[in-house]
Amino acid sequence: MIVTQATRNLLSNKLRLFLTSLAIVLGVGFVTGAFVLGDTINKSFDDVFSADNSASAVQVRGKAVVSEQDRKAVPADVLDKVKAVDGVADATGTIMGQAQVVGPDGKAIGGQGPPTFGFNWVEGPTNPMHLVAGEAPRADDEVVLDKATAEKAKATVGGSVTVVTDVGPAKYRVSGIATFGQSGQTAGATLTFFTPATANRVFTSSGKFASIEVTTKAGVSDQALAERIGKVLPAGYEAVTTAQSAKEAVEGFQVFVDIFRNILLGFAGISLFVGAFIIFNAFQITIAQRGRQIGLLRAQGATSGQILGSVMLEAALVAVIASVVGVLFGIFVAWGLHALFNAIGAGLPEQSLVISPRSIIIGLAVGIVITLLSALGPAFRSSRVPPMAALHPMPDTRSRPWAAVVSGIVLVLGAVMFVWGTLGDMATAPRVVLMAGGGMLLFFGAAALTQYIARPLAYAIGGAFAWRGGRMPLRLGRRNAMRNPHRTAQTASALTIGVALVAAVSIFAASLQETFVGTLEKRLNADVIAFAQSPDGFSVAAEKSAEGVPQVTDVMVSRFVQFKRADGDTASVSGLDPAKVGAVYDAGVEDGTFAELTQPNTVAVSRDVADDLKLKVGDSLPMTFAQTGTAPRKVVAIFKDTTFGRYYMDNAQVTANSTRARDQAILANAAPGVSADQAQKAMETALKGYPSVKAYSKSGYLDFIGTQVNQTLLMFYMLLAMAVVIAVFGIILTLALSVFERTREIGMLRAVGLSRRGTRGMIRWEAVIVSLIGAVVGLVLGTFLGVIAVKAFPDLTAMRIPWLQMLAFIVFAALAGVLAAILPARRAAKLNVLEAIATE
Amino acid sequence: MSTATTNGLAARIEGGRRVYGQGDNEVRALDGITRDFPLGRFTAVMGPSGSGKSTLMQCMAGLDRLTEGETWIGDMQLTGMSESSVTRVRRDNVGFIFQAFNLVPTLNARENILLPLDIAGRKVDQEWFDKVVTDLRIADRLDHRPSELSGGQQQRVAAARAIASRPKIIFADEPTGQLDSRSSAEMLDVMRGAVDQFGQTIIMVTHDPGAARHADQVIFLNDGKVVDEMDDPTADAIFDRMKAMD
Ligand SMILES: Nc1ncnc2c1ncn2[C@@H]1O[C@H](COP(=O)(O)OP(=O)(O)O)[C@@H](O)[C@H]1O
Ligand SMILES: [Mg+2]
Repeated sequence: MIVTQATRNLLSNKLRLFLTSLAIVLGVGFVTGAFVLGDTINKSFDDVFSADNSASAVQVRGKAVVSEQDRKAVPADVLDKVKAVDGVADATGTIMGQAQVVGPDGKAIGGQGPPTFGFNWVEGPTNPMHLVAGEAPRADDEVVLDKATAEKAKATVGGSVTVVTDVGPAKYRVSGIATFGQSGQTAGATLTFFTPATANRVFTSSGKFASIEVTTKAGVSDQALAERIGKVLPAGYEAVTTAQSAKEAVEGFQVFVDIFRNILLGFAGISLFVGAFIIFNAFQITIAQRGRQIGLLRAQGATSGQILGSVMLEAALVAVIASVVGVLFGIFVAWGLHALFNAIGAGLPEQSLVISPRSIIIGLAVGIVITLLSALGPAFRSSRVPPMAALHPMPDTRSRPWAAVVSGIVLVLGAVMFVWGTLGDMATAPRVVLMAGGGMLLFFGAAALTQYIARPLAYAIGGAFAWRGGRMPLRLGRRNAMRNPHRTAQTASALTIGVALVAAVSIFAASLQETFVGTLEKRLNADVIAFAQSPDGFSVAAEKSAEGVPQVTDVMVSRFVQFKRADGDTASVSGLDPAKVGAVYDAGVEDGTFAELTQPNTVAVSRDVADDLKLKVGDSLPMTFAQTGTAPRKVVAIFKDTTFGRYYMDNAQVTANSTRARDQAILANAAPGVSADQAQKAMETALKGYPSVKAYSKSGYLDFIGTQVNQTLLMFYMLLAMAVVIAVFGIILTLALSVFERTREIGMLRAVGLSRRGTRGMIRWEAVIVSLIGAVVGLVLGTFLGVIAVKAFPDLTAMRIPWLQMLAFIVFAALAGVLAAILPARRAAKLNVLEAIATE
Repeated sequence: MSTATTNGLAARIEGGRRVYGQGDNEVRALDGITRDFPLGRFTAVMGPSGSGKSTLMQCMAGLDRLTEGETWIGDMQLTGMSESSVTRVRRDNVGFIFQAFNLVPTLNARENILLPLDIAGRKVDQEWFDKVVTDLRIADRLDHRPSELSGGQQQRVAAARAIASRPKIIFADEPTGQLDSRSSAEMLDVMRGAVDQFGQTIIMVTHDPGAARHADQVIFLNDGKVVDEMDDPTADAIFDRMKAMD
């Protein structure tokens, strides 16, 4: 009997089922999607980096002193030592650098994330490439390209291709086309192979190697050989099995894949959190509506346990249906995102989706557990409905005074936890727990407290619209929004979460913009800024092209290299030209002078670093570089602005301490008598051969930076918009249920002369007021979250609250209310007056 | 198209037929009723359950539409009017008292009483309002929500709402059906008073001969037809007539 009751309730209102499930479907979809996509991407990187692809058995390389990527180059004599080790079949040195292939249209091929690698072509078993056309490069101007890159560059064997290396762009003859390893997948990386002599020249390697690849003789294990080789290596070098290095490479990628997956999971969490509010609300309302019916069941002898079971059974049905649909939706999400990433050039390998049982189980479990938990409160409440409810409609439950106090404590506790987690000094795991837990408590507290301010807020918001004439629909809508503050607060809370997150991100974005654009505006004096278009920077050769431009003066490049501090932190030191920096950029030197950076072993540090490490001008800072090791450096200047970096050295010293110097920017001023515009045009022309760098005017550069910031945050906005959309569905659901509940009352209003339009207006006003309550509370919370988040990043020196945007959110919330009201309002207006007022 | 004159009439129904269902299930709730309701008259409608009393009221008030025939409120012919025009006629010319659930729970008693005037954007006659609420003994309950009023008080607020705006005509469907005798008597006195002092027109459905006796005229319905009428009725006469009908 209970089962049939539950199914009947559920199926009796398909709209309710749909709206209730929606949030869970979306949330579960994102959970499952995040796992499926993560697994799929990991699987494809596994394939790319798999030891199967590598022809060698052991790799010799510099130890990872500073970072995995930046290792000490291997001198040529080490190769001879390795070759002499017993059990080595063959050993070859790998020369490696950045080689940007340029398409026939002058545009860069690849390089938007995945790397653009250049190597020496080696003969023999250590070469992982398989020629599919043509032959190995023999002449100095010959290259082999990987197949995908050759296709993109429209390069054919015997044809020519332009490649930009450390010595600048040059035309090469394509001698052959090859595929990588077993799968031929390169995960979007472009691979160019030169003759050893050319590689040595274009990557300025001075005879050194990035690594040495070794194959074993039969009967020797990789591990044993690696150990044997290790014994002959000079200090600072290591020999590892290729299986080991492949594993490390995969792990290196997995970190990024995991970050990305966790972001998706974060949004899934937000959807589910919003969904929990909606489910809670939906069950709460339906149970209130069924009070009489439940009372009747109780009067006829149903135990409170049976009532509880019946409600939970209904919740379980919703949970299972929504979760199953959600898992299917998640597989679709994974597929869609995979396709989307490739459409925007991520170059993910072809890979059918990896749908592990774990992805499905987690998705189902999360959806079911959250739905059941959300329904638990209302279910318990329903089980406490007394049999008397059959005779008298239940009065609205009044909130107990201690509930407000508890809610307040929860709110404050959440806020404290969030602030602590955000600003405190701790490991990632407790930080995430504190931030997410604190955020959730904050929202719970706020949602619970909203009911106490819902009435005055509804009154005030309604009053704010009084200029609309204070007509009946507005007054009735306002009354409806005020009649059950608990429900109003619940409904608004779903929107509160979305609005708060969007507001927080917008504050973060505005502060980011303000910090960068604002500081740059003030401190950057250059007329022309040529800036890297790829995370790997651009060739150091571009500097010479820029210096040859007669229309510009004060040409200064900025390059950087990683180093390790004495405390083990890895940081980046930027290079500058001490003679020219003053003309193009004002770092706000507070102590000492940049001019002294020309002295050997010197460094300039920012004020916050100096404070942190208690450094004064004249003190010494030990810095460890991968190529040159540790040496103390004298602090010669302390500066304020950290926009371009926290450590500066002379460019020449940066170059001397790195193998793979890449430039980040070239700053220049217009020569006397040349307009800034002309200077920018001239620079643009001079850098035509370098597609990974683009010349901007100052204002153009500021726009570019602004756009970059916005694009980075666009995905966040989009994913958060989903939370808002879910919340709007929540409002639709509540309104629809309310209209159903108030059938008789609406009929009465219609009978005494409220027009259909007026009826629609009444529902619309209610929706607008509820939405605005959600938005107002959301803005307050969002401002709090945003301000704390900005504070958590010391790099964000400017704090800006975008009031105009905040105002826009309010307007959007009101519009969302109007939108949410469309269906329920139409339903209310169409009510048959006679049926509505018919006495039972 | 009828050319019947509606001068001096509060409402009129001509050839009114209202059929529910089709074929074997067909129910003729109203089966050809033609009747004038002059201004300033208090008419009681009586008849056995299912005889079409509610249907008659609803069709005449513009809440329902006739299957056949025409109705007027004053000189406004409802038949053929658009839904929104009918709503406006109701708003400006018609008052209602239903058997129960008359009030909007979010509004207090005063706001409920003023609701039709507010919707129409009209001003209340304060003197009349004060008199009505005093006579109905709800003057001290005006700031209370319906949930804070007894059933009898709620029903009297509903009566005040219908009477205070002085519509052209008031339709009351068993307004005293759930009231105790004292509340019932007060309500009927106020209704009678509105008719006598202001020439209010009222049509009231009732089962109770004691209530119907306050009317100027009683009409008797059976199977959707007017089967009899009685002017200046007494309770006994009505009682006898009802008995004869059963
Ligand atoms: N919506 C409807 N659908 C079908 N039949 C109806 C409907 N409303 C009323 N009726 C029928 O019409 C007849 C008259 O009903 P009604 O006017 O409510 O009677 P009264 O108010 O005199 O008791 C009854 O037989 C009733 O069953
Ligand atoms: Mg009836």
